[in-house]
Amino acid sequence: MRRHLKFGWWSLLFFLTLGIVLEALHALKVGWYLNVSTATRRLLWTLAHAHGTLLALVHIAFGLTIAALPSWNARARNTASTSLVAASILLPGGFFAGGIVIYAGDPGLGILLVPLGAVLLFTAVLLTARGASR
Amino acid sequence: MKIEWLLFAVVLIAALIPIFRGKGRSWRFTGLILLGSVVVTIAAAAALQKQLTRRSQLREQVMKTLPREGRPGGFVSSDSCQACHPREYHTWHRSYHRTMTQYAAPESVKAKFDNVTLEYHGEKYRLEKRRDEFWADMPDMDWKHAQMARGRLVPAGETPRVSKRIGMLTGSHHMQAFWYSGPSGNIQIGFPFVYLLADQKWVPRNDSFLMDPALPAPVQIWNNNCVQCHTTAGQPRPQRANKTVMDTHVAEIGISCEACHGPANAHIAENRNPLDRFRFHHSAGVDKKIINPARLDHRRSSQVCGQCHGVKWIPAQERWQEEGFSFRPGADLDQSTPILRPVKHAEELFVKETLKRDPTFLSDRFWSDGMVRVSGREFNGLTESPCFQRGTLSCVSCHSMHDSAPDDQLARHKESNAACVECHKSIRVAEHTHHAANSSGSLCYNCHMPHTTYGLLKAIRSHQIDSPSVETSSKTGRPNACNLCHLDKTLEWTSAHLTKWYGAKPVELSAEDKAHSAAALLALKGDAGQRALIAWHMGWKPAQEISGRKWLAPYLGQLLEDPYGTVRYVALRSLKSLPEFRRFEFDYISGPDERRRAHEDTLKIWRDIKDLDRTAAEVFVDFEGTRNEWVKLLEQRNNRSMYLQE
Repeated sequence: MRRHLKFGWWSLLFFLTLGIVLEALHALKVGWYLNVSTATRRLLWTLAHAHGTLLALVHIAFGLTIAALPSWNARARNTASTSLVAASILLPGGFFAGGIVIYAGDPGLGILLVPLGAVLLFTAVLLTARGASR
Repeated sequence: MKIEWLLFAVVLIAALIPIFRGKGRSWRFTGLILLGSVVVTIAAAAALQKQLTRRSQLREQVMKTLPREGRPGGFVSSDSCQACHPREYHTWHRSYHRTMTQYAAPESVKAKFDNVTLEYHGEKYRLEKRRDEFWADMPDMDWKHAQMARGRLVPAGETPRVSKRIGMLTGSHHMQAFWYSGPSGNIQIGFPFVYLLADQKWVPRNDSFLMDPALPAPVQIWNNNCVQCHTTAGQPRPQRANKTVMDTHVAEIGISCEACHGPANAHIAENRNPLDRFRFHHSAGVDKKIINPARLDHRRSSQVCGQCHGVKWIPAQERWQEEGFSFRPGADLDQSTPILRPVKHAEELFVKETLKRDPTFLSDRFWSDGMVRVSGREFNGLTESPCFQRGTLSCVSCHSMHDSAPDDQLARHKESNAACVECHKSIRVAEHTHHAANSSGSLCYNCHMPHTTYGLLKAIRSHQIDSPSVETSSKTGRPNACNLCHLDKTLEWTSAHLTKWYGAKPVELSAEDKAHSAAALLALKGDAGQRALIAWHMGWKPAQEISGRKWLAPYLGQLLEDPYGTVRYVALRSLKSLPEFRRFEFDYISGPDERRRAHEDTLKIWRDIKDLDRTAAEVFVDFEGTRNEWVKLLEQRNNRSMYLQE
């Protein structure tokens, strides 16, 4: 539980900071973020910020969920926990990396990490839902 | 590429660490499954990388053969404008200025390319779309021209064939013209066909211009001609050693923000700080680092449009070739690229020298009294208008880039007399026009800006604000506003009304002009430009309503046999506006036999129409009875060679 609360709050701080940085890029009208030709980058970094922030909140919720389910099977709990951590790196990380080098309307290679992260997130949420249902 | 892989690896490893730190056999099993997924992901990434790299290399190869975007001079392109000016960007983006020139891509090409075969002068042209690319299998024109330069005429069908990729296109509203790369540099050569968008039809390029069919098809080179007006801040840049090799650069391939507002680099640098921007938003100040044409005086404001929408001459040819035009919005256009005004400049050396090289330079663009007669040169008309010379009329008095529909870009509420009565407040319209209020005769534009300019396969409003004059019609051959609506009336009829209503001096007219409809005479005897204008007006709804429709078909049928393709096109379109001819089929680029048949078919249909709405000899409507006169008039037709340089 403590691990997730720690991870959640620190990653929330990190992604909120990213949000502030993105806002600053708007305020300063930075071309490589705001130009029409870099719309893909803007979209991907916005997705990175949004997913990272939301997943941080999910971690906090997960930490509290663990405390609320003392009888949750340890194996399932550990799998969910690790999957959630990995997903929280792959999803926003994949979006962000995919926005650094872009190809007109296409993201860079980092985008391929997103589906992997999505599968892990799905696994984590499924296991948690099952654990909460028992 | 390396940084991408590095980031990919960093994120992946960071994600895998917590997985492999997990304890227990079952967790190792899950970890192995994940490892498998990771291997697949890496393989997919490698394949994607390869594809992206290859695509990027191919694109780079193609882009080397095309005029490049990006040039010095403080230009940044419209790319940078949207962030601060989303509404202006959006309104510009949907305009036809943006798409004046485009690189060929699925989103820009509207023409049909799939398995299309065209024929021109005995040579076949096969078009093909290959995924996102547009290709033409065609005769090798470089080889052919080289043979012709050696004095060898190559028979049709014997020219070797070559595959050319279409790289660029011009236009997106009425038609699209296409360009392919030449043998060297980024020279762009005109493909000999254009695509008419409304008709969804490919036609020979020569048949989309009002051009004498006997003239040889010119080889169109985009880099020193079209680049002048169809891009933003173009620089032809021929090589000094060999001027046929070009390295053309443009600020932006279409007509974009900086064409009208000037280079934006300094403006952007000045406004990066958000505090400065907020201060500016709340002040009444003007940013001096960028031009707003609406804030300039009417002369300088109109010159912004006039840099392209005018017949101009280029005093410093070498400099323009290397650096592009030096005019920037806000400056005095006359100092760098003066607009040619035949009345004012007739005796100037540069005009005389131009006429030595090209004797028809003026007549291809102007009526004999100096009024411009081709499309796209509205600034010439405006500068000769009293409203401009003695008033403050400018282009933005009626047009707006950012508050208008894309067609014509007339500002809101300027489709009506509102545009004129802003200044002419005391006019009582119906009293002034002697026509019913709210009728087409009481629309200021119809009398003072009639459609006497030709271009884009239609008649367009003249932008020289003028009043109808029979004397001018007689001297110049330019039809006047009255006879363009009252197609059935004579010049004498018009003269009598102008004298009675406005005190115009009576004009000495020939017996023919007194007896017969001015429009009918021009349709039969006029030159190709006049015939095109009359043909267009015969399809113009206000003229049909006033003059009657039922007598028009024989004229339009006659014009289906015209030697000029564009006259036939305009006549066909007007013919199909008549109720009895809505389903009439005719290929306007067909040969003489088909044209004659189309003419005969027109007459057959016409003869079945009962209750013709005009019987006067003015319009020769009794076709059989006045055939001799009709033939006589055709024999008197002005067959001078014309090529209206729109």
